[in-house]
Amino acid sequence: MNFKDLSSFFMSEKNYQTQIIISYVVIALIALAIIFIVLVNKNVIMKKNNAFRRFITHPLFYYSLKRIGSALISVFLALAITFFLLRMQDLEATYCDSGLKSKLPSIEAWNNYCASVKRSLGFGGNPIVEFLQYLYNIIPIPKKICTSINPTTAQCAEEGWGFYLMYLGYPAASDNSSGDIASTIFARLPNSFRWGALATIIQIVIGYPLGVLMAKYQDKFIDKLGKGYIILVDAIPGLLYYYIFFTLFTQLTYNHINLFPINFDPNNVQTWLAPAITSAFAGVAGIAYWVRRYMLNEINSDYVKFARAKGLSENKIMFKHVLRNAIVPLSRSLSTAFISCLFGSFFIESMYSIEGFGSYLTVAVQKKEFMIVQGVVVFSAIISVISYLIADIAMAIADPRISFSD
Amino acid sequence: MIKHDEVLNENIDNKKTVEFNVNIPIDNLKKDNQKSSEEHDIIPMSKNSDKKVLVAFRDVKIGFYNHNQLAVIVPKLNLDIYEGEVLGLVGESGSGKTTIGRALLRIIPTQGGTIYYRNKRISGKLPHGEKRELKKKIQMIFQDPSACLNDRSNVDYIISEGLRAFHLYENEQDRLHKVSNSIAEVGLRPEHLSRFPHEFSGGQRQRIGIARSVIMNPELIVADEPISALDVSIRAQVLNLIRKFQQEKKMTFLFIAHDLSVVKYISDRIAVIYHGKIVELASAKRLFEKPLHPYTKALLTAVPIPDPRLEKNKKIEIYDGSCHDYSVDKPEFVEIEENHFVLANKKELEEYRKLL
Amino acid sequence: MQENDINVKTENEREIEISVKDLSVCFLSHGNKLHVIRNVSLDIYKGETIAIVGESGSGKSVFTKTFTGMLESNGYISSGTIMFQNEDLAKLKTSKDWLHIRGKKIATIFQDPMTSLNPLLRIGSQIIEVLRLHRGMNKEEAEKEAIELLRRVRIPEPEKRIHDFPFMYSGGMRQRVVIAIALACNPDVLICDEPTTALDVTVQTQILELIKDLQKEYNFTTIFITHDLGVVAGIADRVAVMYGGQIVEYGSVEDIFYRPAHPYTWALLSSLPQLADDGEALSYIHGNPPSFNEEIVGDAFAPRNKYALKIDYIQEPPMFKISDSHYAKTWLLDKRAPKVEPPKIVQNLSKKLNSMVIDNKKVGDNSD
Repeated sequence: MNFKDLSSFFMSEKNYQTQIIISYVVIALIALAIIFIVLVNKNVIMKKNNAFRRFITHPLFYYSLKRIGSALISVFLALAITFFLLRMQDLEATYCDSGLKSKLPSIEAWNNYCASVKRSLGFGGNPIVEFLQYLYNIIPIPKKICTSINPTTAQCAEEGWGFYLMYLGYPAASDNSSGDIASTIFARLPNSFRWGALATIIQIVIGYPLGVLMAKYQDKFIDKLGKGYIILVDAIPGLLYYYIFFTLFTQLTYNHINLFPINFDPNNVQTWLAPAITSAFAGVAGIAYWVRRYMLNEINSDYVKFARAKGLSENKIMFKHVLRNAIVPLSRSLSTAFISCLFGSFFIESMYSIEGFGSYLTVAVQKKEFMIVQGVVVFSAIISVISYLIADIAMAIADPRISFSD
Repeated sequence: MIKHDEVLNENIDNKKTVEFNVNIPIDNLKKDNQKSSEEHDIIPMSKNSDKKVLVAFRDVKIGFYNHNQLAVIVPKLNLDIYEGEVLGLVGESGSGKTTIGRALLRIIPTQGGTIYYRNKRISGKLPHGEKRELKKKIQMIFQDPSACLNDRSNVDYIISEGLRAFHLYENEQDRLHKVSNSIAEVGLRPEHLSRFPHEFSGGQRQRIGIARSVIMNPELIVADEPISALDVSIRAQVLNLIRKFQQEKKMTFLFIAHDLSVVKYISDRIAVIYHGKIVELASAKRLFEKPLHPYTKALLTAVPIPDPRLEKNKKIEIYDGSCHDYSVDKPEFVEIEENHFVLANKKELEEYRKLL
Repeated sequence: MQENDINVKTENEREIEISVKDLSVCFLSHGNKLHVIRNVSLDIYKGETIAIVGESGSGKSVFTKTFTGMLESNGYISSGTIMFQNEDLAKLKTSKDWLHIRGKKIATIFQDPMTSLNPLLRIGSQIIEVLRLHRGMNKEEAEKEAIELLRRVRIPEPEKRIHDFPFMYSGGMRQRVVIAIALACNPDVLICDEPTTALDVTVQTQILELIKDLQKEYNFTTIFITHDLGVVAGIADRVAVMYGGQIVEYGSVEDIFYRPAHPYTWALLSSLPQLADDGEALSYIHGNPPSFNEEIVGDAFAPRNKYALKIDYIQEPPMFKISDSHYAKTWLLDKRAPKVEPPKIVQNLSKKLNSMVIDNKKVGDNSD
């Protein structure tokens, strides 16, 4: 069974019963294991010494477990806050088609229709119950969910039952063609990821060396130049240089200089460059600033003086000692850079008309699509928490001084 | 200085694990916790001393909670500080000497036992008023004079901060008078009052730190390595000041240091501490004449002597904790001669007695 | 300044390792030129231990930093020569020029062992990088040698220790590792910049003993910077006392302790708490060390000196020769100067201390 078979097994509706059983068994096992390891006295496990024991008693494992636990709490809080905030909005205007008001026989019928729409979307009733339902819906296990309610019977409509791995609801009725929100986001995410990753790479490739050079030639020309650039980026509102770059690239494309084509095409890396550069312009400044700062911290530390006294060459000191030590605290900034590229790009995606994650949110906010906003929050919370988690664990591995117990 | 201790104290008191292993009679601890301002009869540790005990540590246990596990730093401390004396507390880094000073200041909570101040309990929970009183009576001098002064306030403000907090002045004129008096006492001039800490040298800053403590007219000052960060020639000034305040104002000092030569000059009595336990306690003179505990000897020989011939020929003793056999015969802190205590078991005591 | 010119052949049987002549160091700070080292001359002999003593700000650290070209970026040598193995170190400019000196011929140990080692690299790799760089060893040889070095500095179980990280060690152990690194290339000169100031007394004695033993073994010259006169007495053969960017007195360790000639040395010695009588106030040096912001006229110590003469405020004293090994820079030694007795405390130093030592029977007659 290769990966494709496995994924099709889990995504198809056919083996629905088996899938549910497998999923629940796996989740129960994980939960049991966590309870066992965390709650049961460490000494019970420590008595024998084998590979499994060494693995589960490894400090890094505990540390990761704890961090994952706190990450889940963060996601939960983010969800709860947005869920209840968005619920305060007047949502009838968005979800109940007001055109039907004149077509339906009475105002009660319209009210009935409206209530059923809201119920099928999962709001209008008891918010706590609905929140729990929402949490259940987004847990990535295969499940059967009722997506539409028959307004007359107030029961689940015959065709309303759907099979979902993760259910985030549907967009408003007027825009029903695009399918459910989760699959739309899944479809749009790769586009954002493509140019976002490119932007992150550009930031690192330019930002790190720039920061290193600025630190190495402190108060020399290149440092002053870099500082000027950082101040420029900080001082000018982001939108302005987004437009400057956009105009520049548009002019280039119209004049048939196809270096940075502005028509985004998922299969053509060259077309990713224009949004990536636009986004990375500010990010490079941020990374260079922090690299310079950490580098200077390290350069002025005693062990660098001692390394110099040992007779190491300046380059060796820079790369083996200073840069290495400066990168450790910076590994955290990498995840920030990636996240900001992925999500902080609502304007850029709209500008270059990229069918991505950011532009989806822009559209949703404009149309007051509560379900989409909520869905985007779910995804961004999960992705940011995971990338911070990875950065934290990576840092804990890289720096021997960080104790895993905290 | 003593700001966050209340919260800390209360929290950890709940987990208190009190260990009673008393060879010096003390009052019932449970009763202590209910009535705080009650006077206790503290029996001085030394039967031969007619001096008045200002501070008494009785079976004090100090430690920190780290992941719900108590890491004991000072297991069982018994110590008297007499009124008007300078008690030197000497030990290596990590021996717990600073911890003891901080427990006395209530910055660190105690995990067992009691600290008495003028026969009143001062460890554990206390009414708010008593805590305030204590802050006024017990002051501290810090090791690093540049780190303990707020760089953004001028000397006048720094010195009078305590006065303001306790409203110890009648009017502005009185306050200024007190501040200029105290700054003159530490050998600085009134025009220094408007300046900021970074304009002073290390020695001057330490003197500002002393002025700040002394202006409160405390009864007890805990000096935590006050001269370690200073140059040799400046050390002398600070030591002279401490001596002056002890003699003229009858202040009591707990002088914490790692340098025996300095402690010998300034202290009336010296307590040598090793791994949280006081191993020897005697008058400064007696400790140098007849050190008994091997660790004291090691510490004494380790102090460099500023004389090339003596220093180059001196025999260094190295202390190794494993030289004691305490498996059966447990050591106790015993008064082996008048005012001379040593931590030893029965067998060692006999050997030490022969040395006297 | 001709008066600083000292006859280097005083101890003619001894070979000179480093010869400093009229060295001046300036720092640029906020547009001011600070003259931090002013015309210092000193010969350092092969195989000896010379201690450089002074308060903070006396320039003792800056002085030795010029031997390895480790001055801060705003500092520079404005004049003078530092001759070391037929090469003028004062002429070396870029860090490339220094590579064959630093670590290889002149090694340095710094004050704080807690921060001298890279916290993220294993102890072994920090030693191995030096061995590979200066001695051209391959990885296996270097690792073997690293273990051997750690054993030499008496670190137990060195085979296991080379895989440890510095944070696992106490200050004393780290300083041992630092010494092992410094000795990795058999340097000719070892500069110890207050190597025991941050350590406990008992650990300090162990480290000092270790340095002494290793010096016997490797025959390097030690330059020992400290402000602790007790340490100086134990380790030094010769002592140079620095004040205000100049060497004010230098001589054998016995000269300095038993026959000090400069009022500053007197003041330093008499401020030692070991020497005070019970209940007597300690003597101390009034005032502050000179600030380099203003041009120093005459003797830098004059404003704080009880024994200052009028001429001290006008003209800088020359270096007077007291004996073949002993020189001091004070007008008190001039023939025309009034006879001044050093303070009592300094005269009786030896007797006083002898009474303090516990085991004084082992020490011979100390009257001078």
